[in-house]
Amino acid sequence: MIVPRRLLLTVLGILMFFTLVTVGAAQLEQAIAHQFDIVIPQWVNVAVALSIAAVKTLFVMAIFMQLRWDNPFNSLIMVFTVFTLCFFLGFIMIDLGNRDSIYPYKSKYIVEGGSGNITVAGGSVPAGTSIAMQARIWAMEKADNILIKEKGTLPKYLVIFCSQEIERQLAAKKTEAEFPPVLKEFMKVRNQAPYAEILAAASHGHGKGHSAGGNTANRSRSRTGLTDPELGGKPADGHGHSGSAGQAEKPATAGEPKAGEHK
Amino acid sequence: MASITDTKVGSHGHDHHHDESFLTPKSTMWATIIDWATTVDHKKIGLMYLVTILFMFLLGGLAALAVRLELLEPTRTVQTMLADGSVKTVIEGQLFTVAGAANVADSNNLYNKIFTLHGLIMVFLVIVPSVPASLGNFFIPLMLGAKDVAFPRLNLASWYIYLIGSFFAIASALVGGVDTGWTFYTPYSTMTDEGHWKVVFMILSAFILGFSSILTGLNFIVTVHKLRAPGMGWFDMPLFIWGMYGTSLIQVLATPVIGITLLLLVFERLFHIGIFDPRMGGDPVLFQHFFWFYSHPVVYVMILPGMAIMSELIAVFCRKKVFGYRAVAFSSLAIAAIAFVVWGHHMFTAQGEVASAIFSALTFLVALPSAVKVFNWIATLYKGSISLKTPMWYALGFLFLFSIGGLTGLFLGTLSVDLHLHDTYFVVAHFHYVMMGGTIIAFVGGLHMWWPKMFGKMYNEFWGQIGFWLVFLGFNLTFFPQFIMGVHGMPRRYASYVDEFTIYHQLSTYGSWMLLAGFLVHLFNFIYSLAAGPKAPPNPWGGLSLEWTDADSPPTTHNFSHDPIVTHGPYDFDDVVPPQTKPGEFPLPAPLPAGARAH
Amino acid sequence: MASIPADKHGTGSVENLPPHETYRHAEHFRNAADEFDAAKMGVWLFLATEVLLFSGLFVFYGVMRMLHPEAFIHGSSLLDWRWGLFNTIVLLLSSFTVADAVRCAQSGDQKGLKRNIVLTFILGTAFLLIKFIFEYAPKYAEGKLPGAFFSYPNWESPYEPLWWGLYWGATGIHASHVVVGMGLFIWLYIRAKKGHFGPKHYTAVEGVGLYWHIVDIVWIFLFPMLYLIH
Repeated sequence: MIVPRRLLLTVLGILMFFTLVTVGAAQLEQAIAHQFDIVIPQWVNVAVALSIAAVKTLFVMAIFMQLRWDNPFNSLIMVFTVFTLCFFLGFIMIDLGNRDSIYPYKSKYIVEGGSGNITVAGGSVPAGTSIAMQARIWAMEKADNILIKEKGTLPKYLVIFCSQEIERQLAAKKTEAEFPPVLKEFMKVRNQAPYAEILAAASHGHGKGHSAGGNTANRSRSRTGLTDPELGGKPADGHGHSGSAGQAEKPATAGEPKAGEHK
Repeated sequence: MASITDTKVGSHGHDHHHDESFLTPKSTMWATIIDWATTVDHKKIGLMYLVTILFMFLLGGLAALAVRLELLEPTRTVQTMLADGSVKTVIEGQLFTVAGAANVADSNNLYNKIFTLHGLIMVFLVIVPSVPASLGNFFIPLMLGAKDVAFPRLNLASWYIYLIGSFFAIASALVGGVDTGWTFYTPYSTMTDEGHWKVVFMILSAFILGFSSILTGLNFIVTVHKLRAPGMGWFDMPLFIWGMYGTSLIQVLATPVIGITLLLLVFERLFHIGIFDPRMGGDPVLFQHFFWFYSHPVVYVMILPGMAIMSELIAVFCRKKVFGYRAVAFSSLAIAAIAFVVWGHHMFTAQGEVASAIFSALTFLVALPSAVKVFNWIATLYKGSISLKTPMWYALGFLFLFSIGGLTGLFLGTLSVDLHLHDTYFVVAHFHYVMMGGTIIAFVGGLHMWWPKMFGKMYNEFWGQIGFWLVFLGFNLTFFPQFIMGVHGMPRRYASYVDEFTIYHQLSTYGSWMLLAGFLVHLFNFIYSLAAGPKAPPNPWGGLSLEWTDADSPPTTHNFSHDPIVTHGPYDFDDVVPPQTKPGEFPLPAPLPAGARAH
Repeated sequence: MASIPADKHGTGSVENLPPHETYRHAEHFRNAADEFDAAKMGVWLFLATEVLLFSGLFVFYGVMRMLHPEAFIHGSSLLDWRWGLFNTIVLLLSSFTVADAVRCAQSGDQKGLKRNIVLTFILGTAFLLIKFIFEYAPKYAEGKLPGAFFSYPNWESPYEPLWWGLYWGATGIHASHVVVGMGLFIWLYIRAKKGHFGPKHYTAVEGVGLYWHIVDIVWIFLFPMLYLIH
């Protein structure tokens, strides 16, 4: 079977259209949530994205890969493959979504973001420090190096980091006098170019609901299972979570206090 | 690709050169070696697989003997206060001692490494490829009436990939070995072995062997679909083919998952990506899910070929149509399908309660198709003309051992019972009864039945049966006591135990020596047969599938001197074969009317 | 008729015919159609193994997104969906050119076949360049790296190293498939230049094409899953 060129071009057009639809749907969803201040559960996002991807896949397989005219056994292979994948994913989700009872046992070994005691290319992470926290310590050193020792200009992501770090330190009830030198230095320059523009842009783009404290860990998983209406679809500001059994066991949020301690 | 060109000439014009056996050596030794190393002939590749697999079986067997030897006595640590105030420590019953360290922990580590090696070799290097890659490779095209498998070069590639994989496994053992257990559970496999190489080599080995397995399975599926002889419909195929078809489906659909699992495991080891690390938000039980999603279906990759051989053994040596052909054929596919939804029964003590309950319920489904097979074989025995040759003894041995292995599997599939039996010797005994009492026993039985066809020489029947009884009794002596001590609470994977278990462990170790003796008898019987065995006729057992009726012993390079056409089913003994006049006789099928086999 | 070795094209005794016209199927198949069907079935089985290889990553994604949604939402917000969209379009175009290459081979359009193979190769290169220059390099510089290599300070959930492990793992394994595919296109081009493909024999074009489509399909799923989470 020779697929006519026109048909191939039509399918290409359809694929492009659906690609734009999937981007548009994601944007629209965000806009709606923002506009009407509602929370759209996460499964909507997943379901829409996966359905569109599945439709696109059907077109590619049926026309581009010529399954429509092919030996039906080849289609059967793919059907079995998808079944296998569904079993694989489904049963594991059933298990991991229903593990409240063992979480308390597991949680005492958990330092959020990893417990450290490993050596990597960039240096070693001491025991008891998470990789995520270590990232902030390293960033502080890096900013210190650039701003104070080299008198250079911070890259964008470090500007945002310093600004957020100041808020975190304030939230941890530190006075400005207790700040590490690099933050004191940063406070002096943050209203000048180019930092002011970067911060303005960042607060514009990132503003909605993301508190600088980095305490979205509050919204971490609830281990109550697939039927939990809140699964995944937490409000962006993280309030009003019904405390589940697992939730009560969680250590304090990693964000605020520790950043100060390590300095 | 000279051989393919030759084939054309051979099949078109009649050329005497091509009626030679495929085993005929070339003019010089080097030419013969190069011929074998570059061959795309499925028979030669099957034999090369057979030799490598038997060698690996020897290595894995030696590791098993070492494990049993260590367990001959319980390890006791006796401390005595001497007159001068110092403490004297005596360790008894410890076989493995590490030089320079009278340290129990060190030698226990050595024990861990040896049982890990035993498990890895036996699972990945022996049982998974054993029947499909050796007997399957050799006989699937012959039974289908084809000249070769669908992709002969891929077939050769799969053998070389197998060699590379086994190289890494042996390299890992030589640089110190791993003690993760064959299951590579995290965190053993991510936290132990600081220098990375040993564990990474072993993971790499299993990863590479997966490709070999996939290529074999893929090849067989396409071969069965596309290369059946004229006249052979799906339900005219020998049941061996149906079993191998189910096996191949599992190999293709399950093996890629172990590929990604081991890849993620290496990422976890080298980059700490955290997927299996609870401290970083991952979950070690997720690894178990990943691992068993492959490794449970692979349990059926191991047993289905054994069942496939069983159908042939029973039919040929009872000279009777297999009872319920379609039921046996479809039960192979049913086992292959169910294989994918029961993996959680390996994790009853690790996963959540909900999933455990679901998996426990699903697990019982496996019993249905397995029982269908066993009952059909027994029904085939009824009123058959049974000839108790070595292969038939092995078939009966399979029925006995697999029934025990299968029924004890039901105990373990029951959630509440398993919580008691989990990780005890009961589990060890169960899977050895299935894997060894099932697959290896059927493999050896099949090897005896097809030996004359493969090499054109008969083996010695007397020593064959002596070997069978040594293996059968030795096997039961080794593993039956393990059921008892398992129920009494002897945990698996320990180098030492309390004195109460001594008698069971000793029986078990004596049994392992008997097993060794049995396999050695078979080995020497085979070697003697190759050297001085009587020449085998083309159809020594009066079988009806194409490899018996239409091919020489050993087959010619191109399998058949003519294109076979299927005129009767593989088990139509009642219609095509004259009745037996005295027990132990194998009447051949009546010659077909002239012209029935079109050229 | 004189027999021609199956894979030694162009050396046959039939003069003045391109190799694809004189192709003889391998002896153990009954006819060329059977051989083609068998090869295609083999490729489809191989594609099944590819899908199941990626299934491990999809399970990684599903489970970890279920357990740590906030890490995935914030991690995803650090990706630029515009580059993802651009790369999706690039891959879809390349999928079309491959399908067109098969059509050209089937209808004997040698020039179109070679043009489409080259175009696909260029699109594949573009995909990789965009990936490395605009996605991998900046992320590497800011420490948005998997697991223990993570050193990006502006995280909002301590589980973000996991997200980057998934991002690099999934896109990296996908990119390695793209690289393999491009190697295959070089091989196809060399053979196409020698005239190995035509209406009677185009198995390799079809097989590589199928492989390339499955790589495309994986990206069709990865794009919304990685870039469009909210």
